[in-house]
Amino acid sequence: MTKRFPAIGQILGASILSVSAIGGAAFAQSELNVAMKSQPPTLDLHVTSTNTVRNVGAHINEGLFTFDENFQPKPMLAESVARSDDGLTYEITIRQGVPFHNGDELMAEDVVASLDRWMQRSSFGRTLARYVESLEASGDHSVTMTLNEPASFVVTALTTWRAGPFIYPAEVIEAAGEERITDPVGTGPFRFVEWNEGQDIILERFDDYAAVDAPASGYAGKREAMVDRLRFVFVPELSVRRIGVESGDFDMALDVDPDSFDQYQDNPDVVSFLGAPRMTTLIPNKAEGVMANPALRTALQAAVCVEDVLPVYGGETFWRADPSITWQETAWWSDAGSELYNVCDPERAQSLAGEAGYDNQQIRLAVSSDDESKFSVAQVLQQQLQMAGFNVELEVRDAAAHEATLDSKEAWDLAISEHTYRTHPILHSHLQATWTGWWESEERDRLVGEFLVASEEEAHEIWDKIHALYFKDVVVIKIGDYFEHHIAADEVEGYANMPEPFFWNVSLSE
Amino acid sequence: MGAFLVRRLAGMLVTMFIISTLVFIITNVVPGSPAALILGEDRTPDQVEALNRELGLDRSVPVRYVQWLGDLVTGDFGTSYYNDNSVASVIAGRLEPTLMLTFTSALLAVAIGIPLGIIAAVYQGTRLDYASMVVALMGAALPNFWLGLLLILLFSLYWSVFPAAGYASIFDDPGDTWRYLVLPAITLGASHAGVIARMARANLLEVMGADYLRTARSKGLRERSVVLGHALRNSMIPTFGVVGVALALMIGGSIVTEAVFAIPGVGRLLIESVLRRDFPMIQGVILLIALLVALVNLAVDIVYALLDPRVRYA
Repeated sequence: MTKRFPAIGQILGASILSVSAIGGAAFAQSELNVAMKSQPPTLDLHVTSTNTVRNVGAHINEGLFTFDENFQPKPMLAESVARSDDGLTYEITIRQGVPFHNGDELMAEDVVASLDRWMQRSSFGRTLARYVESLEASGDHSVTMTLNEPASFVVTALTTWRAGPFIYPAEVIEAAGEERITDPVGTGPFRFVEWNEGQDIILERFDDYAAVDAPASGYAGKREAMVDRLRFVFVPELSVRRIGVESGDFDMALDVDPDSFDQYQDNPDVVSFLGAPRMTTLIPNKAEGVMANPALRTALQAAVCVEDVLPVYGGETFWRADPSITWQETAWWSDAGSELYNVCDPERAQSLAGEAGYDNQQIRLAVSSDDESKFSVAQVLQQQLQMAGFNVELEVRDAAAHEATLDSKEAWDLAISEHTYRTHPILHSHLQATWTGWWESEERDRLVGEFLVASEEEAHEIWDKIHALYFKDVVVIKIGDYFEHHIAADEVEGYANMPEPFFWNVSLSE
Repeated sequence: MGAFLVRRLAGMLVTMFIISTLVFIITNVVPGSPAALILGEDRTPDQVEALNRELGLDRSVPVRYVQWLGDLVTGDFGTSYYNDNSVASVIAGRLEPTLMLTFTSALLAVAIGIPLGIIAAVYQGTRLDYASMVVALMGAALPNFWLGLLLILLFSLYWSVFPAAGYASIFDDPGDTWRYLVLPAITLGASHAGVIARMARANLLEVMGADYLRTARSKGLRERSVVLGHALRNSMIPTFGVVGVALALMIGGSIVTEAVFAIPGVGRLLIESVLRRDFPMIQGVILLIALLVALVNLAVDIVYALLDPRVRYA
């Protein structure tokens, strides 16, 4: 049995069916082993957007809201939310009788402490913080957030997974102070047991877990730990992650190579999952150097042929050409400005470059050697751009040196980025002038300002304008989308295959 | 003997100081941002700045060096940039798998290498000699990662005899420890077994032509007694040196084997820390490896000195 990822809804439907089918299964002493490439730097969910942290931490901590299978926010630790008519006050009621893993009940003060810290420490939290006048407990189980001007994205921001507003007990927040949280206590279906440095992290079922009384849908609804122990094992070697699932040492392996996909089609013991779509872009440095010239960026954009680049991600199942900066599966998909996508016209590029005053100056394409797919993308693009007359040189560094290079305005001209999915445009880091590539634009600032306070219908129109601006300013050159590849032993049941892997409601068949 | 030991220990201290300084300089001048890796792709410059402050990276390299050296003298190895744990406690937790792997591999290398070398020397020029040396060369020439993957494929996937990856602590589950160690120990031990076999053969052959062996033979001793009783002991002194070097190399060279078999040892810790620019951790691990290598060398020297008085008075 092999699942593809043609339409998320379809897969989710199938997965949810299998969840409900095993809903009544009796628990045995069981352990689910998930092999992942590397260990997380921390289990503090507020401070980093690194996916290894969420893969583990989101089983321990929960937020006030979360996304359902259609990527609509649904209450998780919140009971309900009421917005005042002027749009300036949000009254969030918190579910009663929800215990933390330390036995204390979730109270409003925990929510206030967690959100306060999140609004200081998380890049997304700080976006919301700009609109927040005050945040206080208005009762034991209610919190009032007052804004300084109406903003339509409050609930979406509170639903974020990436560096999201996960709730910790107030004393854990206080104990952490300015440092990272080292005591991962939450309300989730699994509680933290131990972290064997370099080897594994072990969680176990939290027996007193208070589940939401609603059917499971995406990340939302009823969560249930169907196994006694959940173990995340760190296995750096790709082939060993694969063999481990095939031999039964692991139940699931995250992030394996697309080339193995075909091989698992005929293997009844292993199930292949196409994971979340991710997006590949070529980022020009808009602050300094040769690419700071917008006309030259437009010329470069015209030379890119995405169909020659995307096969580095494997067979056609693993990629798609798509102009949108927002994900095809969400309501925010847009093709505004897409006449500048995948133009693939080297001659036009050449003449535009001439008009832009390009005189064969060297263009530095920075890339990390640690990331095979980005490196391959860079090689194909280099060749493509050289054929169109651009003097592109690859500058290869290891990940740490590469990331440090990207933080310096003088050090690079082009870079490859692979973004994880975003469920809402506001979650795109490109929109911030401080993000890699430094997009300074008054028009963007004005449009984003309008976008954040607009009604939903208006917001879509404004988003189209911002989207067109992406292409006009050549903020990033969109290459396309590609999919991650995860594998599971066929005993694994109920895996929902959402963009963020999670293992509640997942069981092992006998 | 006492003066010899004092001399060696003083030399060791100087070596450790030089290594620590070099390691500090090299790790701190190599470009790379630990904060960027920790914060992820959505980081903002002020987040990077704040984390650099938290990590103490806003201070200059000389200031950091003096502080680090001061802490080191008091036994404080610092705190990991990456996950905020104490360097000493992380290394202590990672030491057991590496030591177990190294000693098992060394035992295996000696148990295979020395008999192979003896057979090759005794039957010099015969097919047995050539066959032994081909095996030894193969062991020495096969890349660790390739041999490791091949063993996993055969023994984990096809025959399900040993687990593919991981480690069980000897304090928790000694029965499981050896199951996890067999394949990595063969992988790491194979290359050293080959080198030891070749050295054992060469040294034995050198001794075999010595005058005192001709005397032994002319006394009417059987060849077995000549080889095992007289030749072997003398030829073992240089071979013992090679075993010492192999042990030292394995401590530093377990990196690849640990990565392939997902063994949470210091070798893997080192490579992970380098990739993350976790400076305190890199410095701690390299100091530890240097110390272990120095200790192995010291032990070899002491044994040499005990065996051969000329060394003591040189």
